[in-house]
Amino acid sequence: MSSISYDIAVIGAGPAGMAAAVQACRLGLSVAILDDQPAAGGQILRGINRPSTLNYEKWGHPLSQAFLASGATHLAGAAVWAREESRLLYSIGGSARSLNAHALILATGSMERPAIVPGNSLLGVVTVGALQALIKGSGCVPEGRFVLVGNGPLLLLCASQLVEAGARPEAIIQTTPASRFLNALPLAIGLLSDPKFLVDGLRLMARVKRLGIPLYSGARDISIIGRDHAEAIQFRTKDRTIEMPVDLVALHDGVVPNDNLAVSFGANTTWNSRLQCYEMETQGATKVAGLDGVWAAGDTVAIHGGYQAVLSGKLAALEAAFSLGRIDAKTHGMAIRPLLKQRKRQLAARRFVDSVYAPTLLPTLASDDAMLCRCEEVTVGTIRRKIEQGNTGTRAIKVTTRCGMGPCQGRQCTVSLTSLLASELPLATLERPSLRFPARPITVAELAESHKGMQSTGSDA
Amino acid sequence: MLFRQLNDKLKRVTITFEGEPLNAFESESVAACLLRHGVRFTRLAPSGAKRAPYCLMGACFECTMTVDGRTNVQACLTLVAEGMTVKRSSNI
Amino acid sequence: MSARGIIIGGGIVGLSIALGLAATGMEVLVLDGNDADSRASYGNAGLIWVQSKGVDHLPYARWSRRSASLWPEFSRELEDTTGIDVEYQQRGGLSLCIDAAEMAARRAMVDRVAAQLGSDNDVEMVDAAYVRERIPQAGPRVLGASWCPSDGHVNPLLLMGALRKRNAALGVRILTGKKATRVGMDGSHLTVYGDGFSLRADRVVIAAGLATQNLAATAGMTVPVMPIRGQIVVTERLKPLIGYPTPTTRQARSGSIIFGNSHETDVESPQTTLPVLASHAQRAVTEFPFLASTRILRCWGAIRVMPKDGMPVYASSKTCPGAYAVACHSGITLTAIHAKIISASIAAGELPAAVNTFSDERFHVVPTA
Repeated sequence: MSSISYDIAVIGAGPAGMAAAVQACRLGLSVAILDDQPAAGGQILRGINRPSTLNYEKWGHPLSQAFLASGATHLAGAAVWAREESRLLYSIGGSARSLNAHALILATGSMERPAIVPGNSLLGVVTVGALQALIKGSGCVPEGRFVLVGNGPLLLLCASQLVEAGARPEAIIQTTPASRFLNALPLAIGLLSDPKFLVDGLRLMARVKRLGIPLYSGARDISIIGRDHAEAIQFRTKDRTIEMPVDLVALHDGVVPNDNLAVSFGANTTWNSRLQCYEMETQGATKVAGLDGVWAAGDTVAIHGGYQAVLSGKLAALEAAFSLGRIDAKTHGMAIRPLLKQRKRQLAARRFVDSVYAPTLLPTLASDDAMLCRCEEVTVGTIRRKIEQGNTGTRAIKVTTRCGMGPCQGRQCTVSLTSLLASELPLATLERPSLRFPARPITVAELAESHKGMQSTGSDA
Repeated sequence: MLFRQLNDKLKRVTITFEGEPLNAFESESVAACLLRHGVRFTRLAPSGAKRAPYCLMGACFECTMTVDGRTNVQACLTLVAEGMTVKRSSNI
Repeated sequence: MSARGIIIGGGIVGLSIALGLAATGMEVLVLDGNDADSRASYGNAGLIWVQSKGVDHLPYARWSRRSASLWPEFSRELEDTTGIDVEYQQRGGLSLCIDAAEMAARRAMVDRVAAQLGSDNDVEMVDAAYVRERIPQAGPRVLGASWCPSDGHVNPLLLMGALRKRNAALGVRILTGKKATRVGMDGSHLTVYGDGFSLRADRVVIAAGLATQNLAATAGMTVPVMPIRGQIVVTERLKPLIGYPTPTTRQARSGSIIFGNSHETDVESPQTTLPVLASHAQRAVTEFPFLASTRILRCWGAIRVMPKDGMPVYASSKTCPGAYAVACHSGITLTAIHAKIISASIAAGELPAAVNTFSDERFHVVPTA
């Protein structure tokens, strides 16, 4: 297996990854970008280069053009599964490859927060992000009766994108409690430091209202009803219970860092109880704490949004280039100063959004029958019983229920498990279950050929 | 049908699913193609419960299928190609 | 008022003994570390394995087999009382040989075992045809194996859950994050001391894995144990293909195949390393070629406990009467005998004669004249 060398390897080709690649190439470094998706764009800019009649995320076009022209080597469909010092092991189409890079920038973005409601594992239930992926990546839209349910600006954004494409939801069922807007008002002052943010939000709300889509607010007790597929959605709003027949339910409750790969490389993360997710420990904005030669950018560090992702991608590239001695201190200082200032302004704006759109479909609020670990079919109730039986930590729950041991290796359940433990046990260990390589499910043959190995004795137990 | 293609001017390819031919559009994912054709489920959970693509971005592993003889391929991360064979896992 | 027992350490060894003590009517308290601590009970292979135990030490060979023979009843009782099926299976195990050198070494081991056990011998060398009859999936490079009908496996994680549940049902209190620092005498009272607490007891059993050495020393017992790392690979679920466990590869009831048998000394962190895991993968594919295209879900490393000479240590304190220490590598195999025999003896005030040979006195330095 031959190994090629680059100055920088970027993992992920969303806004952060592309911005990092563009910046690094501009500084004269050689860059490889390993992208597990079939085309560049990540999630928010998915399909940015695809022939399409619709135009979403216009802000992404200059970035993606710059990326295409940058000279970075784009390895599409590449699933990185391990790191051994400067060597990255990855898999394309089932075959084992590796490359060497002096610096690594992790830009693996975010994923939908798993929404814990009864019926969440039925057929005909997807995430709002999934609808976006389908429309942007494959040009297809839902037919029949579908609803968007949950909390966050993405709900309204997706609804307006779908309607523009000729697919109209039956309803938008928002679970954001009305009181939050009022409570978060003191933080709204931060929005003024980044007016673009505020304007985008207001424009969206006006548009959806104009389209006349039924909009419910302050919904709670969400439940998806059906035997093996979704047949109806039930919820309470104000003081009535509504049951609406549906064919497809799209859930959304914010996004969380998609950081399994980073953690398997040794990155540390800390639980943020306000946002109910893990955030990466960094030195400064982008250097991954505790690891040599590794930086991280974008939502994979903490959820700061698409614009921040571009900014932090640039920052990470500058930091890495400086660390490699490819730019001098003066160039480095001058370049990062305005970026850091911009970052501070943008983060101030986020505080309002984070407060209003804090998660709502948390496992603590769910009934026992809601599925918490999809892969191993572990319900919220099963975990509650195990806690009662004295299994008082993430590891203890994992070992007695198999929660987190399935194909997704905790991507869809870790955040929910920690959230549930943190609420039920004041002294619970919120220690994240450890992740090691392989970060993707490679074959035994791929593992066998990844290293020449050593004498294995096969000695007895 | 729960989903439909917006741009029917895209070039078409043919894939097979469980031995039957399916029309596909170049540059769509295998998962999208199956969803458009009303394929109800992609795999079974350990209890036998049917599962279908959920996140469509590679983070949930509900869409894993056998593609061109390779097992455990995520259909949402795989673009269709002329003559591609797609099957549900034989461990079901 | 019933006698009180304190177990220091809430892993499989500690909980098995707690169970047995509680069954005699004692009031039992388990002082456990934290969920995130290095815990061998979360990182073992789940094997109930006797064929290679005590190859040159007959009492250990017998002790292991005695525990294996108690396992069926122990498992039944555990399931009846907790409702938890720990996936116990004991219908034999094969230790595969993939080259001539392994065959020769194994044959020699089997001869030594047979010589020791005489008419009680239950281990034999078998050829490739025999292996393939038991496990049709065995590859062409498998030349033979050692076979023992008393070997088997269990799901160690479910076993932990079941032991916790059973203990709770018997009124045993398990305190998490409550670490003892020493065992001593407060006048005539046996006492366990920790950060901000002291607890009196009639019996104290130190079963704290690697921490046993220091704790046991405070009560005058010598229990030298070393950390030893094992790295393991776990595959996706498959339909049943490997019907008998081997020390390197076994298939769990869930369908996942768990492979890799390595012992690294001089390491302290439960990391995984590519050279070791790649070796495991290479061997696994040699043993069972179908594994080449099987997907790996995860790999993990775990630090386990190894007494200095490989054999269990059962020590009783002279300075603190009523205090004992237990350390072993094969905590799973010995679970049944710990629950049923060791604990009853400790409750009665002494260790069984069968474990005299495992006392810590074997580590005492003999003063030279």
